[in-house]
Parts: sequence; C-alpha cells; structure tokens
Amino acid sequence: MQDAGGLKGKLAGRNRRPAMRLDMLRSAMSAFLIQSLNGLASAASLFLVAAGLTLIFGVTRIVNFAHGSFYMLGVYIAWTVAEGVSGAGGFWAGLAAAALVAALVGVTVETLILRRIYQAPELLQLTATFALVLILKDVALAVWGPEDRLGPRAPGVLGGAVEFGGRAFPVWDLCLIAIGVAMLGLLTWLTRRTRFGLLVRAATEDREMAAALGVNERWLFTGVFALGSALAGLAGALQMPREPASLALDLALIADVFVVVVIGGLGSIPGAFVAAVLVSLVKAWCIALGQVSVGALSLDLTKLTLVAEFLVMAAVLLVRPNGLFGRPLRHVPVDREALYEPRPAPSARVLTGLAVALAAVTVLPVVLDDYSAVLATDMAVAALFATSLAFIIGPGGMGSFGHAAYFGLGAYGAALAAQAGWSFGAALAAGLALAALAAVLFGALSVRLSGTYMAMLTLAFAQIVWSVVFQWDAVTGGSNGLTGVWPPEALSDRNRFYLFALALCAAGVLLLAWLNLTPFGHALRAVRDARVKAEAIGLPATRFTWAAFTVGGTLAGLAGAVYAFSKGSISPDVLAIPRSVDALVMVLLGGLNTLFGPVFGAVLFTWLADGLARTTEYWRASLGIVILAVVLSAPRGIMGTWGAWRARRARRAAREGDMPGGGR
Amino acid sequence: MNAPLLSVRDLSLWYGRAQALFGLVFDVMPGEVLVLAGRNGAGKTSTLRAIMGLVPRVSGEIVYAGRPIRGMAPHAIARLGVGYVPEDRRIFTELTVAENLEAGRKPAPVGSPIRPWTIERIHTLFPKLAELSDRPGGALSGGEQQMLTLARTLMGNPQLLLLDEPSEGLAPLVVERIAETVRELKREGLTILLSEQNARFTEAVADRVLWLERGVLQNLIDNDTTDKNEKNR
Repeated sequence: MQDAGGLKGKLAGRNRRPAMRLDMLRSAMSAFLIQSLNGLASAASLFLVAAGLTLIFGVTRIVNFAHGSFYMLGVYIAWTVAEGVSGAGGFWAGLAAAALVAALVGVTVETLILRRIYQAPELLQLTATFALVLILKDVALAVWGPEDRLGPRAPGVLGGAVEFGGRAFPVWDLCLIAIGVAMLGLLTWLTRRTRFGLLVRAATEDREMAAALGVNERWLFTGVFALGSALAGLAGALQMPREPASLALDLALIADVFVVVVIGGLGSIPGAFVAAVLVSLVKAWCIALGQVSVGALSLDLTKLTLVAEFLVMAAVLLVRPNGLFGRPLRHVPVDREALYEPRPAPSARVLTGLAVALAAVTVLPVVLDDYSAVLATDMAVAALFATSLAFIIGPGGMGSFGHAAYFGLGAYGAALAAQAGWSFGAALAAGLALAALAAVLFGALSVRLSGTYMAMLTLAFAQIVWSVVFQWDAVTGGSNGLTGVWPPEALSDRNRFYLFALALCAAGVLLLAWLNLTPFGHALRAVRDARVKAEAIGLPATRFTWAAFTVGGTLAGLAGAVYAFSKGSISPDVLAIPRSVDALVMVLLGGLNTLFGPVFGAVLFTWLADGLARTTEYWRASLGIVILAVVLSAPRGIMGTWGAWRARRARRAAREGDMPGGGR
Repeated sequence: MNAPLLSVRDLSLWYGRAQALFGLVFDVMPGEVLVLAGRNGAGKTSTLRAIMGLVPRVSGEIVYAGRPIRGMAPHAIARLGVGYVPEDRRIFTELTVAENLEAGRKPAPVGSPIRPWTIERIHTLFPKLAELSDRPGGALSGGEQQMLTLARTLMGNPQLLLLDEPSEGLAPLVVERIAETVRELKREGLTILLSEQNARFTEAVADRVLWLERGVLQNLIDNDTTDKNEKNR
C-alpha cells in the first residue's frame, strides 16, 4: 500500500512545467487532492480489517494477530478465483469467495484454538494468534508459492480512470471510498438495529452479565469471529486491483490495523472508521507534501509515512488513554495463575543451583566445534534476552510486545560505535546506553497503560524504531544493515567469544535474579499483585514498574550488543516483530514460574529453531504448531508445568498422610 | 411437602487456594422467599454466583428443578429458568433502558408456571422505566438502575430469582419500594433466593432466613446436615 501510494504520488507530481506560479499552485492543489483521495481509498480496506478486529476484540477480548493473515488470504483467494473464472464474473465471485473462505478459516480457528484461551492472560493470547500468523503464512507459501501474484483490474468502467484537475485517478479507488462508507453504514445498522448487534454490544460491555442473562457466548463469539474474518477477507479481495498478493501483506497490514484500532478505541466501529481515515490521510499528506515542496525537507516528509501513524497513535494515547471513541475496558476476569503461580522470591538454594549449572556450561568449549560454539553463543544471548523480558512480565506484571526494540537498539548502538572506531568495551556500553535510553523513554509512556493497550503500544514503539532503522540508510544502512562488527583479536576465536558471551549474559541473568530478592523486587511484586494496596502503603507504583521496564530493556540491549559482535553484521530484522515474539515464546516455553524457566526456554527455542530451519522449508508453520501446543497444553511453560505437577503431588502426599479422602 | 426447586448440597468454593464457602447445605422451596443473611464477606455473593455458574472452582451438588446444574455454563443455567440480579447491578451503560430490557429477553422454559413477562407488564410493575426508555443505562440513578437490573432479569422469564443485596446503597424509600416489588413477584409465583444485610428489609420479605458466617451456614433448617458443615470446617 505504501509503495503504491508513493508511486502514484510520483506519477501525479510528474509533468510539472516551470511556468506560471498559478499553474504551479493549481498543480500542487490537484496533487494534494489526488493524494488525499488515494489516502481515503486506502482507508477503506484499513477500516474493514480494523472493524473486524475491533468487533472481535470487543466481544472476546482477544487481539487477533492473525487478522492480517485473513486479509492476506483474501487477496490470494480473490486472485485465484479471478484467474480461474474469466471476465467480470470471476472478479465478483473472487470477492465473495474471499469473504466466505476467510469466514470459514476464522470460525475454524475460533472453535479449535481461541475458544480454549479466552480466560488466558493477553500475552498468551497474542502469542497464540501469532502462531496462527506463522502457520497461515506457510499455508499460503505452500499453496501459492513465494512469488507475488498481481490480480486483474476491476471489470469494465470500474477498471478505468477519471480526471481530477488534469490528473488521472482510478475509478476503482473511488469505488473503494464508497464501499468503505457503505460498510460503515451497514455495520452501524447491524450493531445498532439488530438483536445480534444488541447482544454484541451488551457482551462487549460485560460478557459475564450477558451470559448470566442467557446469551450463549459461544455462538456469539463464533458469529462475531465469522463476521470479523469475512470483513478482513473482503478487504483483501477489494485491494486485489491495487496491489499484488504477497506473503508479506499480513504483518505489514496488521501493524497498521493495530494502530487504527488503538487510535479509534478498542471495540468502537465509528472509532475504527475515523482512525482509518485519519491515519491514511496523514500518510497521504506526508507523501503529497514531500512531493510538492522542493528541497531537502521533502525527503524527510515522505520518509515519515511509516512513523507518522505511530506518532499519531502515541499522541492520541497520551491525551486519551482509551483511544478517541474507546471507553475504559471493564475488567474481564483473567486466570493469571494460568501463566504463573504467585509465590515468594526464589531461595538462595536456587541461586546456588544456577551457579553450579553455569560452571557446567563453562567447560563446554573443550568439546565444542565451531558450529556448536556459535549455537551456544546464540543460546547465551537468547537466555539473557528472554530473562530480561521475563523480568518485565513476571515480577513486573506488565506485557511488552516490542521487546526486540531494545535488543535491536543494543545491537545497533554497539555496531555503530564499533564502526565509529570506539573500543570494544565502549561499543558494548554504547549499545547498552542506547537501549536504556529508549526503555526509559518508551517505558515512561507505556507503563501507564494496562494490559492490551500496553502490549499494543510497546509493539507500536518497536515498529517506529524498526521503520526508522529501516529507512535511515545514511546511518543504519537501511535494509542492508551494518557489517564488519567484529570483536577484538583476543576474542576472535569462536570458543573464546562464547565464554565471553556466556560470562556477560550469565551476569545479566544473575543480576535479574538477584533483583528479585532485593526490596525493589519485593515492592515490584507487591505492586503487581495488589496495586491499590501497594500505593496505599506508600509505594510509588508507576515509578517501580517504569524502573522494571527500564531494567528489562537495558539488559535486552546488553544481549543485543553481544549478539551484534557474535554475528559480525546486523540487519533491521533484529528489531522486527518476529524477534519480539521469539522472546515471548522462549519465556512461555520455559515458563515464568521458575527462575530457570526463561533460560531453559531460550536454550530449547534456539536449538529448536536452528534444527527446524535446517530441516524443513516450512519451519514457520512447525514453530507455530509448537507454540500452539505450549499455549494450549502447558501455558505455564515446561518448567512451570513440571513444578506445578510436583507441587500437586507433594500436596496430595501430605494430605493422604493425615486426612484420608478429604479436600476437593 | 413439595420437592425443593433448588437444592444445594455440600457446596464449597475456592478463590485460588483460599476457600470461601464450606460445605453449604440448603433447599429453596417453590414459591418461597429465602433470605441468605450475613455480614460483608460472609460468602453471600459467592453462593449466588456459584449457583449461577459464574465461579470456576466449586465442589458439591447444585440441583435445580431436579437437574444437576453445577459445571453448566451460565447461559445454560439461565435458560433453565434461573435469573440472576447482581449486587452491583451491572447495567449495560452504553445501551438504552429499552435495549437493556431487550438484552434480557428470552422465552420461558417449557412448562414454566410463571406468566410471561412483556415490556407492558414490566412497565406496569416499574412505571418509571417506561419514561426512561430511551435513556442510556449509565445515566440512571442508583434506584432506577436497581429497577432496571431486576426488570432486565425478569424479561428472561425466570422461575427462580437470585437477588444479590437488592437494598444496598439505596435510600430507605426506594428500599421499601423494592421490598414491595419482591412481595409482588412472590405473588406472581416466583421463587426468590436473596442475600441481604438489611434486617428491616429481610423482615419485610423473608419466609425463611439462613445465616451465613465466614463461609459457613450457621442456622440450618435441615438439622441432619449440621454435622457435615462442622466436619468440613
């Protein structure tokens, strides 16, 4: 969508004659108009997807990461039908088929998977739906292959163009604008004037009460999911004449949609509409102004498009924490214990165990070849990365969905410093400092928000950082990244570097573990478990959570800095969404319940990902299935589930000892 | 004596590892108003929520109209004819009064002896709600909300009404009005289990009173179950 807009902007801005001022002004005005219309056309699809996401969120309280994948499937399916059935019939049948298939996929996903995690903490839900993204991407890869698929134009007159002030504008884009407005009308009618809509609104506000009044949640949820998925599929199909079907559509769109939904207010359809228009126009204007004005500044504006929407979102959330049209969310009972069991800080015995384990892995280099040394280094880095996130989620009780930002900033900070000729130690420190700075800044804004909003804002911040790094060619090397980041001679041996990485990362992990035992750790858990009470006894809750977020972000930066030197080169991938999710999966895999959990999860995940990437083309789907299996069957992670099983056995044994047949 | 409409046996309930109810045993007979009295935190709300299927960790037996309902989904329990009016009213604030009533509407279960409720009958019972029809639920006063939440549940044609502290936070005059309504519903043939702290309100409506203290029933009608309660302490 981005590129298409930029291209049109360029086309619209061409043919400019350096003639009269009035001419130039008129030309600028029509370019502006065209860009605005173009923005509105983009807004239509964005609105449809966002409306589906927001409807689903309102009722089920699940932020469906896979919603962008339904959109992607929509484009592919419309393309397939349009290719198979010739003429206008194929085009229209494609639209219908896309909506229908997306609805079917949505219902299948809802009944088989999501239904089981409605009570789960939001990070678990987000991770599960991200697993679906991975699986659906590989399904698309298997069915349609890796090439982009460009669909036919809209049939007949709709495929033509009209003139605005001497510039051509596609009729189909005008149709999209009309369809967007019509869908707003239709959805408003559905929610305001039908019994289904009434029950959706009732359940959005208080789903437990709706159930107590006899509303069958299951049917309502499935119905809403079908509707929301169909909207996403339709939106994709409507985009077919504008952009080719590609495997990258899902994540590219979902970030935009998250932003729209958050700006509009979670659960609000008019909000989604206003926000979609706002975001699309801001982006379009950035392009228009960048094209019209001449000079160095214009470049900055067109490049601002990726960041602009996130800036709008941050600004809106600062003024209205629930979005433009959103209301404070009624607390939905969440089974926190699904994730971890609140319990006292780990004992010194556990720390001793950790030290012994450390000593054991230190002797590894003796038996390791180069490949294994690299893998072991990756594991050490991952362990610190995961533990730093676990600190934010566990004792901090917060959810970060953009942890890769701090990891990546650590990597880029270190790499840039190294390229500037700083010494090894100073470069590591620079990475650490950059990550810390970002964590302080972003943390200040996001720790005020709760649950879903915080998860989405941290994700948005990570996206901002990613797009800045991705576009700032002059400094960050853009999509190519930075190369030639090597440690000093003394550490150039793989085994030696492994020992060094292990020492630094272990120190980081131990520091986090130790923080749990300090008064700071105790206060943090108090704030997490009973915020109001903690504040009542004088603990500054926000300052503690902010500090915890900063600590977590900083140590992720350390992991990133070590990572940069271990690889020798880095690319924007180090701070993209999938890496944030990797960290979450490591944490969930190991479990938050134990100190070792995230470390164990990181080691297992790194080993698994390495193995999968080497053995199957469909490693994404395989990983997705592993994630789903963990979320559905052992949400406390492997270590947590094992611990809970042991505790249950111990309790049962104790009970059988003194009281036969008692209890639950 | 008739068979009880609701029969609770050995009902225990946990929040996490903390036990909140200890082996409750009681019956609610058809057509009676049974008051569950007790202080704050005694377990009154928990008992009603457990019957409604809103608490996950519950043990024991709950039998409604001859059917075991423990473990059933709340909406299924509601559809059998159990109506729940929560303590904090939980009006849908974004919905109008008329829409709130519509959200609660559902047909009576087959064979229900209760005359079906219609909007007209609701408006006769609560004339005030007719005037407020288009007002958002969030814009009502506490007393009006209490009427609306009760009316909304009645629209679902329940046979057994679970009323959680209907007098809480209301002016004495409104409390009297609510008591009058409860007596009227009893005349309509509804069976009512309500929790209450207000002694005067209790006196005005109760056929029988159970006293709940720290999750244990203190004053039992069925003598043979006393031992059980002691044992589970």
